[in-house]
Amino acid sequence: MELFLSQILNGLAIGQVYALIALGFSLVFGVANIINFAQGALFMLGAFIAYSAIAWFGLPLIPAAIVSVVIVAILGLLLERIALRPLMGAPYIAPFLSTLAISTIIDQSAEIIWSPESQPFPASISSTTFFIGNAYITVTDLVIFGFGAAATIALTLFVSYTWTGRALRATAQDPAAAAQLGIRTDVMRQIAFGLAGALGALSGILVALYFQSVFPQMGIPFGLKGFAAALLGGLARIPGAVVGGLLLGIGETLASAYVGDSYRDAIAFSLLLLMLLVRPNGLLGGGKLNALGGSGAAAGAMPTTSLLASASSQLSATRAYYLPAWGFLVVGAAFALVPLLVSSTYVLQALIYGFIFALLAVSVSLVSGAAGILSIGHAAFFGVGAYAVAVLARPYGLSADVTLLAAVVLTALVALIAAIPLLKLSGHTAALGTLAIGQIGFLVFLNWVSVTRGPMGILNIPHPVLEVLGGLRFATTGQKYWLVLGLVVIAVVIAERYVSSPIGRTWRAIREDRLAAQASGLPVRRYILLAFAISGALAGLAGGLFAYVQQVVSPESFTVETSILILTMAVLGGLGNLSGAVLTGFALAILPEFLRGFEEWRMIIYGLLLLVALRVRPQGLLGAR
Amino acid sequence: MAGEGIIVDNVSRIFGGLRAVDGASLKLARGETVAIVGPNGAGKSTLVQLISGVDKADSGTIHVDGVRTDRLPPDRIARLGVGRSFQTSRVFPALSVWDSVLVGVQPRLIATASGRLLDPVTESLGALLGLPFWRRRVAAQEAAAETALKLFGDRLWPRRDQPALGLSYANRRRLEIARLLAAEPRYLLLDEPSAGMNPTETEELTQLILDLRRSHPHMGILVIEHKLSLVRRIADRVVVLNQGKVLIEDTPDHALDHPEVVEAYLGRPRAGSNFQDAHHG
Amino acid sequence: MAETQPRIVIDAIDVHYGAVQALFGVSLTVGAREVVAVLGGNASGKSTTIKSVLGLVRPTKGTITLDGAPVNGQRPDAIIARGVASVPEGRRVFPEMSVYENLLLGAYPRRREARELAGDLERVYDAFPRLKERRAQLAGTMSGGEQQMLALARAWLRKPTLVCIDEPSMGLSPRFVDQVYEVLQSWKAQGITILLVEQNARMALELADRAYVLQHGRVAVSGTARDLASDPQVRKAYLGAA
Repeated sequence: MELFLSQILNGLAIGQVYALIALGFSLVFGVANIINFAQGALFMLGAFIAYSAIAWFGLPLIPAAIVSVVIVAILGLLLERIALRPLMGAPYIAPFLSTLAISTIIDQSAEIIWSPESQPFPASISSTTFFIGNAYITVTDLVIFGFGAAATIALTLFVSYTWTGRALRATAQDPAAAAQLGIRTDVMRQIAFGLAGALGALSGILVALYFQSVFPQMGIPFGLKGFAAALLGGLARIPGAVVGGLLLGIGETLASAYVGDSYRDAIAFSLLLLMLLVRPNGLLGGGKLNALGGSGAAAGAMPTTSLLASASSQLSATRAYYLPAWGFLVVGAAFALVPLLVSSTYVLQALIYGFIFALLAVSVSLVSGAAGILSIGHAAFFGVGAYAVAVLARPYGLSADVTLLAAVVLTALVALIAAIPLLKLSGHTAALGTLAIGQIGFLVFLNWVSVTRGPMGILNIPHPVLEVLGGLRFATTGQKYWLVLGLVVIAVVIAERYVSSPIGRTWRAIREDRLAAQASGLPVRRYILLAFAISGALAGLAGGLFAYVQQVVSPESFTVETSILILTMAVLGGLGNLSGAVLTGFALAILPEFLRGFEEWRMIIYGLLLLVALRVRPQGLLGAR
Repeated sequence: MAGEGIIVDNVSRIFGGLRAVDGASLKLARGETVAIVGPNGAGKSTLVQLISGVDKADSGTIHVDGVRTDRLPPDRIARLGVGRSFQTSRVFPALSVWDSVLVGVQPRLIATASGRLLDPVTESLGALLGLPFWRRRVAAQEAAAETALKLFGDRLWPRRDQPALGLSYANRRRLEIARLLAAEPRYLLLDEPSAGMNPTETEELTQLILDLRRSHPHMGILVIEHKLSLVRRIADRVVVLNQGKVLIEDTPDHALDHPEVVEAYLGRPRAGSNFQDAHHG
Repeated sequence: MAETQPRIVIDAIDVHYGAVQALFGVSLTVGAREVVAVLGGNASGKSTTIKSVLGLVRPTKGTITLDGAPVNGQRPDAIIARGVASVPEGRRVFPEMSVYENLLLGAYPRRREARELAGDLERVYDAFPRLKERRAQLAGTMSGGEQQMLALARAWLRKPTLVCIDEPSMGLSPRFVDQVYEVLQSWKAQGITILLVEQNARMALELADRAYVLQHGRVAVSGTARDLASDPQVRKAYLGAA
């Protein structure tokens, strides 16, 4: 009981921090109607700028915190200015991907500036412990809770009782009406981003104090938890975000106390998925007042649920270029000749990775492009395939026919189940759901030691043997090249057949207008689940092949970075265009081979490519289909 | 409550403090054309949302050919033979005209004789391998789509490879109706089909509906329409909604010239207008 | 009618929503202290006309001037800053804010005049005792008629010299329609210039000095309210009588 109470007190402190991150999401979502993926990056920067101000410039904690909050608030403004404002009128997908690209660039830059390692935070608050009865609480907890609560109250007072605050809320509730009262909605947007930056920085500093360490990868998990808290509370509501944050904090602290600390995050993200499943509008979020649309008839843009569309013009002028299914056989046959001409294992190895990532990009393009649900979690499916092969081939010594088939079927099943919480969602919210799936996958690979062997990974995976081909063994790089190429070509041909069939047409119809599709009699859920199952099967095959090629499977191959990379490939190729996905997946996978010595710049380059592409060619290289 | 037709019984829908539909009842039989008219905000579109399952009623019941539908999802209701258009026509912008119409027939492509749906594995195998049973179904689907597109003369058929987003407003409305007709619905619900159309296009639409009544004598048509001259020409019966309630139900001329209806549209003159100047001192 | 400079001059504007043309060369003037009604059936283009004046849609052709200066391309907030208030179609009160906060937001352009604002708020409460009673209630939970009163009061707190009103009687019961027009009548008496878009022709013509009837995005008839009240053309434009 004492432990229970102590955990609750402890959870309130960290929950207050989540509430602050959540408020950043809520403000921006309310006013600008987008989910700012970079909120986590701003949070991380807040912690690191305070860290540097203390460690490098010798500032005391409070001035360092103030400097950090001011700088990050300005960065928030800049983010709106640079990454979002130019995208007004761009496809709906663009602002979200833009913040995603910025987040990738910031995270990677932080690794370069501050090193990827975790650093001790150079300031602390007394660790004196108080007892309330038998429950205990530390001064650090109290201070964090106090600061968090004070910031929340200040923000609440600001939005409740100042002109600017009221105008912010009015803009969030009805921007068109707000503009007709003389409110500058564009300025409100900027203020929301600035405030979100300040809140992000403050919460970053509090987390640094709480855990006494800072690390560049802290942005995404905490950002996702802040989002979970915001969603728990109904996304656009301030009291909701606070309640959501506190509940999440208490929930995960209790979970880590009773289930195990390594499951702390996995439980938080599972909670998020559960929420999405049962109450997508949040615990407190009722439906917004459904205004009666009396006028709508002749007004405005074409209704669509497609993330590829935009308010002004859709993809109207762009054409998609793509190969028919048999075209991939021709291309595959041409590539089959390469080992006859090139003997360098280094080159062949690079091409093999190119094929695997081409398949992964196809897998994402199918679900994100054709079916229209943005996936930032595909590394989990990739990983399930890889671990399935690793476990079956290594301890059980099964042949590649069995292991690869198992990888495909198991991953399809996992993807199908993972898609269930996403069914009621669309747009950016669904994307964050997939991010949670990706994170859960990674945490399971890392922590389910009895099966995955944890951070060590599974080593010495044997060479693949195909029993169907009379026990043919693929031992050399050249032999594996043919195996991978052959299976990837078959998989891509099947995927292309799907996308070109009436099923693919139905996916696109659901992407374009889910409501109209359903009102036309289409069982929408069934088709979305089918898309995930097929996408999962493709990713599972890619994972299985990856396991055989690497001969080692460990969690670091399946991080959110990998998911973002695969999504970037699919977007750059043209969403829904499998030929484009193959091309960019292949090209971007072998690109690092030309960047030897600049490995740490890789993600920055991808991020920049994505940013530039969103500005100049949002429909992708070969055109979205 | 068995029997043919769409039967809406004492249905209400409340948004916030607003009773959008307030105990409305109406019946649409197969073979008849009924128009719903009424001033803005009378609850006409909400009623269509409720019948098609896109929105759910707070109270009351709806039956389609004896099946209770007020708790069913929209796709189930559509597969019972209820096709609906939207006030702002919804046409799958990035899909070609041809593909858009084929989407309308997709539920029939995967339907079995017993009225259920093919399982996804059979559907996948059929689609991937081009099995004979599948090819026969696709051929039937494409024939239905072609017939539906050709109903509109040279408006849509020559444009079948263009994306829907490039179509003119009137053509988008036509495309939406073509998509509905391709599925051969038993009931057609049209939500302001002539909105945004000029007089020539409106005349063409009137002719189309009159033709449909002849070519599909067993289809029930429910149309929400503001252009009352059009209503007078196509409807067997007119239901006038005001403030979410059925004000009057009668033949077009009787209904539209009824003093209460004229008042609902034009407003009523005020008896003994003694204006107050007291407000705001 | 207006011996001084007209407040609003709309000169031959076209408005397109994507592929659809909503207005075809519509021209209209509103003189100082004049009440002008724009009438017409649904989808006749009347709302689009008022939205053009408020900068909510941009004409593709033609010009609009407000007090002699062009408004083309200005944002709504800039137009509101020129002494204009708007009562939007469908009322558009902020559903999750209290009645009091909704009223305050009406006075947003006057936010520095704290002292006068307090007095004006009292006057609104005197004129609308119902709003005073419910000042702490969320606006979204009020009935349509009450919301319309709130939207009117909110616009009045702007202390406008010109008000644009879009379909104030839409979806209201006759009792509330009467109340709305009583308020508008009092505004007219105060000398506020009004551009009113309305489907309810009879009520609007009682209030207005002049009116324009739109049909299919064009001005079908225009003239003094007195003349139009007995013009059969008006009835035809609405009911499409055979």
